[in-house]
Amino acid sequence: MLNLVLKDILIQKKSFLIALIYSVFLFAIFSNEVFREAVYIMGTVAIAYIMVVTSNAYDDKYKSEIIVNSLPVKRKSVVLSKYLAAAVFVAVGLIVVGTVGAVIIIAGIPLPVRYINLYDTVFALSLVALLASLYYPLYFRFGYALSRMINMVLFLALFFGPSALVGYVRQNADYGTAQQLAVCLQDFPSWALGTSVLAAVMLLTVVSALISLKIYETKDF
Amino acid sequence: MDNILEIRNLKKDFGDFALKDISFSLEKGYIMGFIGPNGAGKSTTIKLIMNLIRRDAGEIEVFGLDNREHELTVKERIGFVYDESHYYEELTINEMKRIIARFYKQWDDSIFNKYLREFGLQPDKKIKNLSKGMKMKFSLAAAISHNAELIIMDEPTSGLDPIFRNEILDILRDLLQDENKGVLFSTHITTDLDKAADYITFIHNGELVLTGSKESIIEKYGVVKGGQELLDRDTRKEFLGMRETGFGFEALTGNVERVRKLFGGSVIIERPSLEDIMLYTVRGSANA
Repeated sequence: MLNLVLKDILIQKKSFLIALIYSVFLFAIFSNEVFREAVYIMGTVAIAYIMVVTSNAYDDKYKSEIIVNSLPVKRKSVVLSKYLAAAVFVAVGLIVVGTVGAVIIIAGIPLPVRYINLYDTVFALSLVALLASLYYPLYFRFGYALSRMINMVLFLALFFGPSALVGYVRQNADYGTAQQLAVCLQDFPSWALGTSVLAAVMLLTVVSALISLKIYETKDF
Repeated sequence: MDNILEIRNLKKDFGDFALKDISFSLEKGYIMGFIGPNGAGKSTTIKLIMNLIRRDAGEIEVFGLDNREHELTVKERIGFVYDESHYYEELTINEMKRIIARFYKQWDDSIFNKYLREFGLQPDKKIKNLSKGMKMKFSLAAAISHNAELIIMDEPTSGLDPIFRNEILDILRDLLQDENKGVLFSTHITTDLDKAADYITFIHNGELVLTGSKESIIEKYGVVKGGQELLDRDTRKEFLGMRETGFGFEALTGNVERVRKLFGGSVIIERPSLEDIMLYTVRGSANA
C-alpha cells in the first residue's frame, strides 16, 4: 500500500513546486486581520486538495488504474492508499506552509506571521478528512470528471452553507434561542469540542472508506 | 497437469454484449494466439483473467490457482502488455520503472536494462515523447523483467509496422526458450500468428469458435474451391462460410475429410491460413 502512496507522490513532483510558490503568495495576500489566523489551515487544505485532485487527474488521463490493478495489488489497497495519500498530502502541506511561515519570521520579512501550531494541524487534518470523505466515494463511483463537478458543489456548500444558515437563523428563529445556543457552545470547553469534532470526522472517514471499498470491489475497468 | 492457464465456462454479460461460455487452456512452454475480429470479446476475456472486470460465472485458473482467490500470487507471476500504454506519460522510462519495480518481489533491474539496450530505449526519455512502437517496447520490457511465467498481451502489435511486429514476435520466441513460461497473445492480425503461435483460440461475438493446436486446426479446416453447379441447399450447409463469384465458389470447411468424400475430385481443397478461417467464419455467421 505504501508503494501506491509513493506512486501518487512520484507522479506529481511538479505539485511540490506549485505548493511552495502558492505558500509564498498565501502569506503575502492573506496578511489582513480576517484571514491571518486561518492562513496555515487554508494553505494546508488547499495544497492537500490540489495534490489529491492532481494524482487522480493523472490516473484518469492515462487510465492508469488499468495498470495499477494489473500489478500484484489488492483493490482494497488501492482504495485505502488514496485515503492514506490524502493524509500524507496534509503533512506535505503543513511542512511546506509551516516552513515558509517560519522562514518569513526568521528572515524578518515585515509580514504579520506567527508560527504554525497544533491547532492549525488538527484543524487542517480534520477539514481535509471531511473533504476526502465526501470526495472519494464519489470519485470511485463516478470517476474523475463527474466527481470533480459534484465536489465543487460540495465545496461551495461547505463554504457558503454555514453563513447562509446563520443568516437564515437570524431572520427566522427567535433571537433568544440562537443566543442561548451560542452561550451553550461557549461554555463547552474547547478541548471537548475539538475532541468531539475530531471523533465525528474520524467516524465519517471510516464510513466513507467502507463505502469506497464496497464501490471499488465490484468496479469494471 | 501443466496448464499455465485454464478457463472454463467463462461468462460475462454487459447488456449490449456478452461473453458466452468461453473455455480454453494453455500449456506451459507454448504461445497461444487469441484471435477474433474487433469486438469479439478478446479484451474482455483478458480483463477477466487480470481481474480488471468481474466474471458472472465460470472459472479462471492461472498456474492452477483461482485468479481471484490468489490474486496477488497470480499477478506476481503474470506480465501484461495492453494495446495502449496507460503509463504516466509525464514520467521518464526510469521513473516509471522505479514505480512498477517496487510492486514485484522478483523484479530484476539487470533484465530490464538489458532489454532497454536491446530496444534502443533511453531511460531518461519521457514516455510521452516515445513513438507508439517504442511505448510498446517499454511496456514489453516492463512486463518481462520480473521473471513472469505467463505473459498476457492484448493486441500488442496493432498499429505497429511489420518490422516492429517481427521484433516483438522474436522476443516472445526467445522467452519461450524457458519451457516454464507461456504466452497468451490477442490480435486481429492473424499473419503474426502463422509464424509464432503453437495454439489458437478463436472467438467471435463473445462465443468460442475453435481452440486447439494450430497444426490440428489447419489440418481439419480447408478452403474448398469449386464450380457453382456443386452448390445446392444441402451442400451449402457443409460450409462454415462462403464467397461466391459468377464462376464458382470458395468456402471454408471444418471437416476436410467429409468434403473430400462428398465432392471427390470435383473440388480443390487448399490449406487455409488463419486469416481464411477467421474471415470465412465471420462471413458465414453474418449470412446465417
